Order: sequence, then structure tokens, then C-alpha cells
Amino acid sequence: MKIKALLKKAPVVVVAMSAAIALAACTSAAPEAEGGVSGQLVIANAEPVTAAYWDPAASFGLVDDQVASLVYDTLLSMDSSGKVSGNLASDFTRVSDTELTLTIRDDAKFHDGTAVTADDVVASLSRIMDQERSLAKSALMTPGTVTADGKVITVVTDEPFGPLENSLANVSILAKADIDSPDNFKETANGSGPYKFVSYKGDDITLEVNEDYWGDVPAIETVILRYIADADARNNALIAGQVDIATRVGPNYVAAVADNSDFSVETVSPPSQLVLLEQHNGPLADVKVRQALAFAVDREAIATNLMQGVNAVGFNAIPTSLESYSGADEKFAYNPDKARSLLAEAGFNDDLVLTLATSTLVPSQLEIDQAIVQYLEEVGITVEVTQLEVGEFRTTYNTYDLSINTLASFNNDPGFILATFVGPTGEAVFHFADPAAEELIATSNSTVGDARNSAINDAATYLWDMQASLWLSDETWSTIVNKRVLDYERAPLVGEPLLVNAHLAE
Amino acid sequence: MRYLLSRLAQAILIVMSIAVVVFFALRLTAGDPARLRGQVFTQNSVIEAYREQFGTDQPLLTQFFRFFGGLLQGDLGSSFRYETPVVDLLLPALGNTLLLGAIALIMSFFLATTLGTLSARKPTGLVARFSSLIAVVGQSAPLFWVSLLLISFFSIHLRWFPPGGLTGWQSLVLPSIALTFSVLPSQMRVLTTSVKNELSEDYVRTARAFGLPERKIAFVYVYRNALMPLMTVIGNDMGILLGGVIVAEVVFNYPGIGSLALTGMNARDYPLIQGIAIVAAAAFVTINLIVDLLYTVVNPRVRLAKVA
Repeated sequence: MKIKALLKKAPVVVVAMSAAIALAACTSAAPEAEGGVSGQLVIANAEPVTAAYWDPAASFGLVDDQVASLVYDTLLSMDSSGKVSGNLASDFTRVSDTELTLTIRDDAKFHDGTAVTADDVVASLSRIMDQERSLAKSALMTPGTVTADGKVITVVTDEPFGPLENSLANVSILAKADIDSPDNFKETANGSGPYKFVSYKGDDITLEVNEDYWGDVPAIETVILRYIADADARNNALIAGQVDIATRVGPNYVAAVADNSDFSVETVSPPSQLVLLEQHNGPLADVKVRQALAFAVDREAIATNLMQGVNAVGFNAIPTSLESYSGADEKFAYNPDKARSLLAEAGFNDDLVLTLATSTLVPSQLEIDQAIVQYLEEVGITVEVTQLEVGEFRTTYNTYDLSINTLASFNNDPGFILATFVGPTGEAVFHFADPAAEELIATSNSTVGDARNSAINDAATYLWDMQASLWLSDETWSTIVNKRVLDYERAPLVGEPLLVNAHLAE
Repeated sequence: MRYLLSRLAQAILIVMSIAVVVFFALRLTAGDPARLRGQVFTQNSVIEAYREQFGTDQPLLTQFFRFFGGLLQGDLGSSFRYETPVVDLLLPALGNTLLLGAIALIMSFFLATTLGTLSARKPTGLVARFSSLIAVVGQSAPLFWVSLLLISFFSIHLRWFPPGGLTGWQSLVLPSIALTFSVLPSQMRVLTTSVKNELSEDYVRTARAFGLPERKIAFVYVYRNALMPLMTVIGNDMGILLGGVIVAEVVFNYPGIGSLALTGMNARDYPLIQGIAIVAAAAFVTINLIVDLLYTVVNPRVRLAKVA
């Protein structure tokens, strides 16, 4: 009776609001997956594009490379196993250690309708190979010259350069007219690739299929690259069907969909490692101390328990997924007694103090750092931990003795990772300068052909044996895919060049 | 009019002061925008090029005069990260945030009014107990937890509403419910107390003696007087909403000013953060000014006192 009386007296607005919500709930269908049968695919990313400036040579970034790989063409392409073959270049020949010739096809057009010519290729490569220019992607190449004779492009490097073919699978070909007028990059991305740039609004980059593509036209009409900052929000969007693919997903989320038949997990990813960076300008300048740390930390336990077994544990300074990887003889297997012994030899008797910066840059970083601290304290090392916000961490990590970070290769070549340990980069990242390492890495970079794997292994093993840093594990960039996306595959590159092979279930 | 002009001048001074404080505070914060644009291994030459592009290689005072000069001309600069004018990024995001905030505020106002008045009239009734429960839960439960609960139940389990984004009016339902829940308890409590106080006033006794219906007494006479304290709370709730909206926008991936601020902060995008701070301060100051002016509309005694 009281309830009846209450309902009679309740203001209409309260009832109306409740009814409105209920009506919305009843009449709204399940939130329509935006990547439904309309031929639209939505990819959720954990980071936004680096800049709304569509020059693929100007920056490294997950989303930048996604756009570049779909909108622009490269001279060569890479399949899911890392094998390089022709793309915009119908064929290519390694003439010598310093010379590569490529024949470009004559049926490719930029999205503005102009033909892709040898001049465009020469301009695109020359700007990257001009080491005086401060383009980010210059890190993929080496100084040299590029010339054209009709459809034949000749790339001549000043020094032999082993990763050349891999890098050419990553360097985008731009229109010379855009290179000469860089302001054009602010408006659009004018490539010759299978997708055209449509817009960048809010958090969405929209691409649509290029019907005039010289190769196989993709089956998916529209691709949206969506930035969703929060990991839970990204995961919710995937499960609710708002997005079809989530990139660089942490181990926890991979484990969460393990028994969910609506999703599959793609693990082909750029070769990448989780590394405990060690600064060589303090106590860690002593090789015995660094080796002691390696024996003190149980990397396999961390990989199993804190990374849900997603990441492989390697025994060398390059990721296990690389063809040139070979496990070193000394595994630095967990051995606290050996660690204490090495510390004593280095002159430390429970009095070594190290600083460690932690943050939330990588999945489970706080937990991993906590575990590392405990392992080190067990062997008598005191660790002073400072937790930093991500931005501060990324800027100041090298002022702390220890910090976790990711080292990844953007061209599926170990040279890209090994280059971190040499020159100004080595100094900046690790305060590291080792002439022997420089020589070995330079040799591995300049070795071409079958002998290269051996040269890479020599360089990597040298860094590993002297524990230039502590390699925790590989870092698998897991991608969760809704099962309605068929034939999805990835190349071991940051971008999505093989997305063109995918199609949506009816 | 003089009062209005004086308040406007105060508002401008406050916003300008905030702009200056934010400018210097940002540059004292650790984190180099140029370094954050690249990866760990980015060459120094690239980093230097970014610094030149951003202007962060200039002395601090040079940067300040450039910023302040632009501000006086209405130019908030260009975002480091997005390389587009800050205004072009801010306006759509601000519109989305104001929409969400307005819906939450309107919903909380009506619910607080209804539930607060009914609770005050019958303190031991069902409505009062229900309101009390909402108040306790609303003030105890963190906004992000409520948001995740709503997503889990209504989006993932029932699939009634999308879990995030802004794809249509359905996207507004869950975040506005979460935000309403965060400000409703304080409004409800204030109104309940205020109505109870008014109900014990002489004029109410007189109105009852004249035989006026209880509903009319409550919602026409008592309510208008009880509204004053609620308006003060609503003014404060603007600030709470502005802060809470950041959490809601991140959890719901809502493209508003809160998530834009977070992205800007992570990238140390100085122009973007400055712009957001200035716009947020201006919005907050303006809303409080409007609330103050509304006092005079709601309560003629305040208007007369000001005139006197």
C-alpha cells in the first residue's frame, strides 16, 4: 500500500527518466560492433599517433608505422616468417656488399593519381640515407647514394650494410613533390599503398581501400586505427565488439581470453626484449657486479609467474625470434651463491647500494621490479627504489643505476637493437662505451650474406657474456583478434603490412 | 552592472594567474617533451630537432613571453604531439565534456530535488532510506569502480550500452550515470537538511493552517528557499565534475577534455596542457559567476541586499 501511494506521488520526471533508460536498453540492440559486416575493421592501440604529420620517415611509433604500412608502399616486403621479397620493386639483386639494384614496377600510382617514378624512389631513399638530416628513420639505413637509370634503382652504401634488404621493407616511398613541399604532409598521407588516408579525427585514424591499387585490392573496405588509452577500456571495447583487434596486449589480458573461443591471439611481433638497463657510470661499470646481478635474478621464474609464460627467456643479447639467435654457453642461470661470490670478488660485502627507477611503462613493471629488488637483496645488494610517472621515467631513467625498458627492432634485424649499445646512443642509454663491442657490432652490420648470422652472434654473445645489461626475456607483442577477422597475420614488423590479406566473416 | 563588471575583471585576473602558474609549473616538472616524442634509442640529432621545433631550446623567459603574447591574442599555440592548433583540439573535446557534465548535473539536480524533498518530508519512509543508501554508497564508492561495474554489467554482460567511445547517444548513458552517482550524495544531503529546516519555519505552519496541500507547500514554497544552499553545492560540484570527468573519460574512453589532458600530460605537451588549464579555469570561473548571479534570481533578498 505504501509503495502504491509512493508511486502515485512520485514526480513524473523520475519515472520518465527511468523509463527512458529502460527503453533505451530494451530497444538498443547489442552495441553494434563498428567493425560489422559493413566491411569495417577497427584496431585498438595503446598509444596515439606520434604526430598528425604524415611523413613516415619523421618518427618511430606503433601507430605511425601502422599508417605507413597501409598507406605507403615499400620497395620490398616481408612475410610473416621475416622473408623479404619484392613489392614496389618487382625484383632486386644484391650486386655486391655495398650495392643493391632494384627494378621498380611501372603500374603503381600515388593516391593523388600521379605515377610512382624512379625520381620518387631516389628522393625517398636519399633523404633517409643522408645522415646529416635528423630524420628518425635514418636509423634504419646507412650513408650512401641512390641513383636511377630508367626503372632500375641502384643503392650504393658507403660501407657494406647487412640489414639493407630488411630496412627497405620498412622505408616508405613518398612522392618527390611532397618531399620537396613538406607542408603537404600536414594535410594528408599521399602514398601508393593498398589504403588511402581519409581523416584523423579525435582518436580515430580512418583509412579506406585503394580501389586502384597495383596489387591485390584488400577485402576490407575501411580500417580505423583507434587510440584507447586505458588498458581496461581497450579490453572492454574488444570484448563488447566495439573493436576487432587490440594490439600490444599485456600478458594478463592474453590469459583472460585464453579460454574464450571468440578470440585468437597472434604472437608474431617485432623482435623485442625486456631489458633491465644497467648504467655503466657507477658500481655497474664492474663486469663482475653485472654478472653477479645476472646470477642473482631468477629470470625464468619472473617470466613464468609475472609474465604468465607469454615471453620466452633467451640466453643472448638478441631476441630468440631472430634467425641469427643462438644461445650462449654461459646461461647465467639463477645461482645466488655464485652472485655473492662475484660480488665479494668485486669488493662488495653486503654494502653495495643501487638505485632503481620503476614505473608503469611495460606490463607488470612494478611487480617485476619488486621481484628483482627481492632477488638482489637476498644476495646483499640494497636497492633504493623510486617510482616515477611514465613521462618522468622515460626522460630520467638513465640517472638511475637500474630501470626496465624495451628494446625492439623496427626492421626485424638484430642490428637495430645492437646499435643501441654503440656510439652516442650507447652513451645516452647506458653510459656505455666499449671499443670491442663497437668493433664487433660494426662488423656484424657490415657483413652481408651467409656470414652475417655468425658475425651477429659474435657481437651479441660478447655483450651477453659481459652482461652489458640484464636481458630479462623476450617481449612478445601479443595481438588479440576477434575471430570474425579471417586470415589475419602479422609480419615481424611494427606496422600491419599483411593486413591486406585479411577479410571479415560474412 | 558594476557588480557584474567587477566579477568579470576578477575572473580574467584569476584565469591569467592560473595560466602563468601552469606555465612555470609545467617547465619545472621532470620530463622532456622532445625525448618523449621518440623511442629509447632516438638519436640526439632528432631530439635536438624536436626541441627546436617545440621552442623548448629557448631560454625560459623567451618561451614565457612568446606564450603570454600569444595568449593575449587568443592564440594558445600548437600542440607538440598533434602539431595542430590547441584550439582545434580543445573545442570539440570541451564540447563533449560539457555535454557529459551537463547531463550529469541535470540528472543529479532533479534526483537530488526529488529524493531530497521526499526524504525530508518523511524521514523514516522508504524513499528516505533508499536515498540514505545511495548517499553512503555514492560517497564511498570510487568513481572508477562504479564505472567499471556499470561497464561490466550493462556493456559486457547485458550488451545494452557500448563500453566506451562516443558513437551515439547510447555512449552517454553509462558515463553520465557514473558521474551523477559521484555528485548526487552531497546534493541530496544538503537539500534534505535544507528542506527539513524550512519545513520547521513559521510560514510553513501558517500555510498548513490555511489548508494548502502538502505537495504545494513542499515543492512551491519550501523548495525555493531550500534551493540556496544547493546552488552553492552545485557550484562546488562543477569542480568535482571537472576532476571526476577525467577518470570517467579514461575508463569510458570518452573523447573529452579529461582524456585529452591525460594524453597531453603523458607527452609533456606544454601548449595542450596550458590550453586545457586555461579553458578549464575559465569554465569553472564562469560557471561560478553564473551560479552567483542565479542567487539573485532565486532569492530576491540577495538582489535587494546587493542593491543596498
